[in-house]
Amino acid sequence: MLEELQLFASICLNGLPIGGIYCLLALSFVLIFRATKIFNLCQGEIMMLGAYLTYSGLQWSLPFPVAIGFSFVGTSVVALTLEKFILRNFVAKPIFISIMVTLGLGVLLRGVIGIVWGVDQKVLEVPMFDKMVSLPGVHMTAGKLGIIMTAIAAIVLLETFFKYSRLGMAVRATASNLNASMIMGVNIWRIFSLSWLLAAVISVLAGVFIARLSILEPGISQFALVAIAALVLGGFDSIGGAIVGGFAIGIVEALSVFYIGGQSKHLAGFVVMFAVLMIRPYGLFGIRKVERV
Amino acid sequence: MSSNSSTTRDGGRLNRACWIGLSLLLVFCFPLVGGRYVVFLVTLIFINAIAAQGLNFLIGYTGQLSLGHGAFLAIGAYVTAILCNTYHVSFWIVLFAAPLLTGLVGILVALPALRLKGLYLAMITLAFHMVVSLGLMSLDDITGGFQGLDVPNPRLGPLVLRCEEHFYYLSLIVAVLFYFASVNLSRTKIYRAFIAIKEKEISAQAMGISLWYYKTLAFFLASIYAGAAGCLFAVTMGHITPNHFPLIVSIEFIMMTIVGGPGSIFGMILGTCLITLLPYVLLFVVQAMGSTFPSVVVHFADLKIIVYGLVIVGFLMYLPGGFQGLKNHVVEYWVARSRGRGVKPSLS
Repeated sequence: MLEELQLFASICLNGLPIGGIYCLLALSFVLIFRATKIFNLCQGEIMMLGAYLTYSGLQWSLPFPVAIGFSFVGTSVVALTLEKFILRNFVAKPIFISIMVTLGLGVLLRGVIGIVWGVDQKVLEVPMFDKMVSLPGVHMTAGKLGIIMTAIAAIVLLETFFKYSRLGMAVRATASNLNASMIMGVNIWRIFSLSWLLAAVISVLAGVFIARLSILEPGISQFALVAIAALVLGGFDSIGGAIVGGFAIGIVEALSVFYIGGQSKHLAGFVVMFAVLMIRPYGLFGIRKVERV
Repeated sequence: MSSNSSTTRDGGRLNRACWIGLSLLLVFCFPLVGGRYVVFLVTLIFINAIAAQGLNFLIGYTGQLSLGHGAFLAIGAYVTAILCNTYHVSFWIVLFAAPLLTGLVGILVALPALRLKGLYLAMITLAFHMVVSLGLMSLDDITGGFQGLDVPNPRLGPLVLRCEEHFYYLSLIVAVLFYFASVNLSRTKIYRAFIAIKEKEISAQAMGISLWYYKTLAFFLASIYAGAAGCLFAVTMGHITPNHFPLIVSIEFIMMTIVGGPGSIFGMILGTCLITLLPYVLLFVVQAMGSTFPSVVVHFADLKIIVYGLVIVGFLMYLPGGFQGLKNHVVEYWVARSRGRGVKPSLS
């Protein structure tokens, strides 16, 4: 019995790193959705772009921190361009139009990435990733621990930023009422750009981690779809929900791989998403705003 | 065909009958002149037109965004394959069973969708597509996994359908039936209820329109159309795998709606023609360019989805009503000019 519990606990622990990645991705969805009310379905492709840019930076034998910095800049430029020239036209339009637009942009970006980097699998090296770390009770590689720490740190930092800084307050104001905050002198366009920028930076981190944890190929944008499951579980507009949802989906995936089989990996996430939408569509921590029939 | 022509009512009707007769004659004679490849492409257009009209009930009429239409197509195709291949049911029964079973699945999906709107509905239909496409790969003892399933050639007594021309006529007949069904539906109370729901759910409910009944009906009809299309797709292809139904299929159907103009049957059919042919035209162009730029051929798949993205974004930004909207603008403009006002109609 004790051994079974231990096994169970270690499987759950195994799901945490991938869960951390889902946290980061879900966070990038939440950031954009809260401020701009646009659900950015091309976030997966932006994440993939971040991973590929880091890969290119490493190919040019830049040191890792410089390469990832280069990727931050490159991805942010692309994200801000999309936001400024395309998605600004769709602010305050019906949400399903922005869903279709971002779906189209995602397809477009995937094609561009395929042409620039090709479709073959690549290996992205992250320094110190496989070094073992022994904390009391935990045996994990530094990289996996790093992913979990990054996810938690990102959420803590963002929560602090939104709660205590003036700019963060402006973001919250924009999220709660666009027109009122505009009247009060908030430059909402700057808030929108800021949200996209933060989301881009966070998804670069997620992209690099995914590429290192599995492999760098155009298929990794599917992780963003699974992250939507985490997002649904946490609630579309809750930052705290993103962390719970992300880790929960990571654990569910790890458990289903162990108890059902490798085929069911992503399926489990989508089944959870389906169930949550049926039972509690606003998620665990979202605002109850769903209209009923 | 236009209603404001100077002909009398009977003359207009005669005119219309002539046009329909002529175009039917044209499509019936088409396989006699077209090559097998072209016949196959037109068959695909018929099949997609059926499915796209189904999506029109959701996006165009009722205003419900579904990102999972390809999944219903997959269900229709797999029901056909499983019934024909594993249980050896006669195809002519399957032709009715596949849409109906898909329709029942549609009702099951509609149950949660009744509570959800906008973003949530889009997400649950997206999840539905992913569950179906991953499920098709996982349940390999029923669906054959990655290998997929063979679909035997359908037979009716002595008649066996086995070549492109046969499937062409089969799809043509089914497509024409479904076309007239949706045209007739657009003159009924059901259509008006759908539109009322799209305009404003609360007022529709206040006028006594049962939201749950009509939303479920919209999903049911949409999945019946998709199921029929899937059934025809399965027999036309002869072999189906999960790779025939990736997420991009659902995106293609949404593109047909966007390009044609949501809510109009004419627009849907135009959009279907354009979007179905788009990859093949692109392939032709790429192959023509291949001799001078060999790298273009290698990147065909990526070029295709880039064009898809450009079409979606471009239409939503510059032509949100699709071609139907464009046509309406042009007609409005010329009517205004011919009345001597010269007023430029406002872009809605």
